[in-house]
Amino acid sequence: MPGAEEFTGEIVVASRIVDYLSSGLYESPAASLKELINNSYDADANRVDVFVKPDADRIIIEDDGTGMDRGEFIKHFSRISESHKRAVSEYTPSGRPKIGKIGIGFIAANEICDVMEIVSTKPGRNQLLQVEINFDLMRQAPDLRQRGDTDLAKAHYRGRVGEAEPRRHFTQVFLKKVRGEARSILAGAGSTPYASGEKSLYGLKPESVCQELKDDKLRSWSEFDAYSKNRLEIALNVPVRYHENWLPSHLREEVLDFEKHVADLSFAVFLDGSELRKPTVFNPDGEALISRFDFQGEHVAARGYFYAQHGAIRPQELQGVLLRIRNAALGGYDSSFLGFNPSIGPLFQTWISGEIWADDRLEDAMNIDRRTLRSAHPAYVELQDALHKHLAKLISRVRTEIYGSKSRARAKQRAERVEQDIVEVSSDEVARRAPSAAEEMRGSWADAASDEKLRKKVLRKFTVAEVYGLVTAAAEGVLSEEELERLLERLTDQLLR
Amino acid sequence: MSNLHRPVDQAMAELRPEKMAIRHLWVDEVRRVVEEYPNSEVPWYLTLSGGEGQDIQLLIEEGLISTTEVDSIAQEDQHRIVAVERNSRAIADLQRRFAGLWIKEADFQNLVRGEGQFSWPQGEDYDVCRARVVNLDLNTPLKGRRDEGRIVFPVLEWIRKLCQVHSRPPRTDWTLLLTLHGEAVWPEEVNEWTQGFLLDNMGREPYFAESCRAFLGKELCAIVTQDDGTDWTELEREVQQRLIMVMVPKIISQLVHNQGWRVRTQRNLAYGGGDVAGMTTWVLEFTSDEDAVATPDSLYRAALRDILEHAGVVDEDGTIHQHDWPDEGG
Repeated sequence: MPGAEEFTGEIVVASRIVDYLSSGLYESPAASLKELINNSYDADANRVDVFVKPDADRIIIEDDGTGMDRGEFIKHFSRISESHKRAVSEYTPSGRPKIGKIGIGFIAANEICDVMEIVSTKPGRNQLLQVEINFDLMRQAPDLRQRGDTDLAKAHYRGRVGEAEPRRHFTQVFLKKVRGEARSILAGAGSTPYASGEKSLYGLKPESVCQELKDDKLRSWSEFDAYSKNRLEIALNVPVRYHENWLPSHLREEVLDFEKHVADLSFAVFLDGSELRKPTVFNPDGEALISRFDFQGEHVAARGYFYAQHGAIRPQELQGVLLRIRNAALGGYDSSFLGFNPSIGPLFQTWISGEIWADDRLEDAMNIDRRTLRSAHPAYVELQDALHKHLAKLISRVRTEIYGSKSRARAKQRAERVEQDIVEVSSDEVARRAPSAAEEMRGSWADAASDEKLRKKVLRKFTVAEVYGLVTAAAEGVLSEEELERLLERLTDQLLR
Repeated sequence: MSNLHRPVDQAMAELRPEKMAIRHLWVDEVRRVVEEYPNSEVPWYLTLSGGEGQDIQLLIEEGLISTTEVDSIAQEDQHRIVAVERNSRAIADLQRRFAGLWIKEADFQNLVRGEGQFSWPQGEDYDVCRARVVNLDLNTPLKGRRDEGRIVFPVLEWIRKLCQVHSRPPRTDWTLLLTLHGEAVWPEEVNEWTQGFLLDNMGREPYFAESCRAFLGKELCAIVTQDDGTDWTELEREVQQRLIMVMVPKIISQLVHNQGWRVRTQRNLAYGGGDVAGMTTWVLEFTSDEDAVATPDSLYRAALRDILEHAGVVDEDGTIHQHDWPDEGG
């Protein structure tokens, strides 16, 4: 590029996080991609395109955010862990609370590739920043990378500033020389440790993805190929919208405010042209309910919802509680519900799924991996306690409203059958001898199935002794002693048959 | 890091009728290959499409490459087509237009390991270079230079290497779609070599010599046969185009004739000129011939015969006109 202004430099990290960065901070390649997507969110992007297919040998993350100039690049990258991301404000210019904190998101890329290229331009500026970051330094021994007393070199970069169209603003991140294992996982080969399935969500519209997730036969995301499983994990984490029909409409009405909150963020992510939506999709086969959670504590505040249904929630990845801070999820659903009483937990943990948005005070409890929390932190302890109390009440409600209603339905069915039997007996046996009595019998037990009090009576079970007692009591004043004797003899014969 | 804005992408984006006509010729070739080799182990199509990828778009519109609900390339066709591109921005453009497209990030020259005689693409690069149809749509003239005592035309050396790559077992018949500027702008030593090359070949194959006289015209043939060398750039642009139309398939035939390939020039066309660059384009079929290794010279002569048989011009409306041969010329 003629006349381009070139610059070079070195990226260093403060040693306190070096261990994390050098020993696999992120659990999977998808986790590294999530960090980069959340960076785009922090740059006020409305749309992010991620291109992985067909082979993930080069991955592109492109957004329409506010971009970055040379000065910002150097400020953010020169000393990782002392990022200035929130130095000016906790919020982006459009009002989004920033997800990133210490600026390791970009460096997440070193987990999956050897070279990262950034091309970026800011609104109204005609400067185009182009930087190539080479992570080969971090493959070297620490003593060769030592810079001063506290810093370790992480990578080196080569950049230049050229001309750009002032009307456009964007950031393109190219991950190059993607490592072998990451390639196979991200591109979706079936035989990876992360998934074994043959089904793929590649190239599907959101409505088709939603249908796939609602499939009764789908038990786990692992039934999809690795590409699709990564897609679902990313979509769960980043602040994208819900599917249109993620809940039955009568339940959806109860959480519309959460749905609107996410939609109002106006953040869309497309993976290979296919829009990501939250993979939180429930398809109850019977009774289901929503319980809202709203907690204002001394150390933390949080709100969200719990969904419960009759029978296990599928796919199983949705069982548990998902915590969100600043709209980004901490890992996946925690099926232990933050360590809920293990003697009760197994009873309910498969039929409840919750999503909780906690306020910034919980962020202090978050570990650097952005997926775990420090369990002794006051904010965590307080939230854990509040959640467990809520869960205890919810379980009780679920037993009554969902499982209780199931047993009532079964009782009604039994009562209907007994009612039918009474009609048959009265018509066949009784009507021949005492037509008016038969009619009275039918009248007395009519509506036995629908009337709750009568239902209990019609379903009562009697011992032989109770039958003798009932007959004797009924004969009192109606039959003589001799007639009662003969009746009881014949009753005994009948009961002995 | 590569340049950010390139004229080649603008050139690719142009929807000139003559270029569209040529793109449809390309599609016809790919369609033939798809029908003939539906389960081909090697890709159907390799292209240097630039960021616009208009040829790829045409293949999709014609139903030769299938797409998904969201218009990305369908999984089953992702390795049927490969685009070679070195510019990051163009790669991003291509990927945005055709999500799921297989893009090899490389300079084609580096992909085939340059012009050296003893270096070939290896590993994944080797796989990329083997395709049933290879489209080298180059926005450049045919450059020539002296290298280690011999005259080398780098683009044509790449094609020699592609032939070698396709020769390896399992040997794969393939088609080359080649487009170059129709200019003969070379250093003096290349001019001299060109003159000698034409003279030699006209002497070897009378039919070719006759065709050349009829196609290039008496004036140009007289220049070829004169003793005191020549500067082709002094010729009119249309005549330069014709010279390139003769030279390129001939040199290719010579470079590969001893590798067992029968080379058929299916199309040999000129287009452009006026306000836009004069261009030349070819469709060359490379077919494996069992007898070729034993009789390379007869194959070469056969190749020379059909070089000009399908010569013609694409006019501004996109109509293809075959060359109007005089009765005595063929």
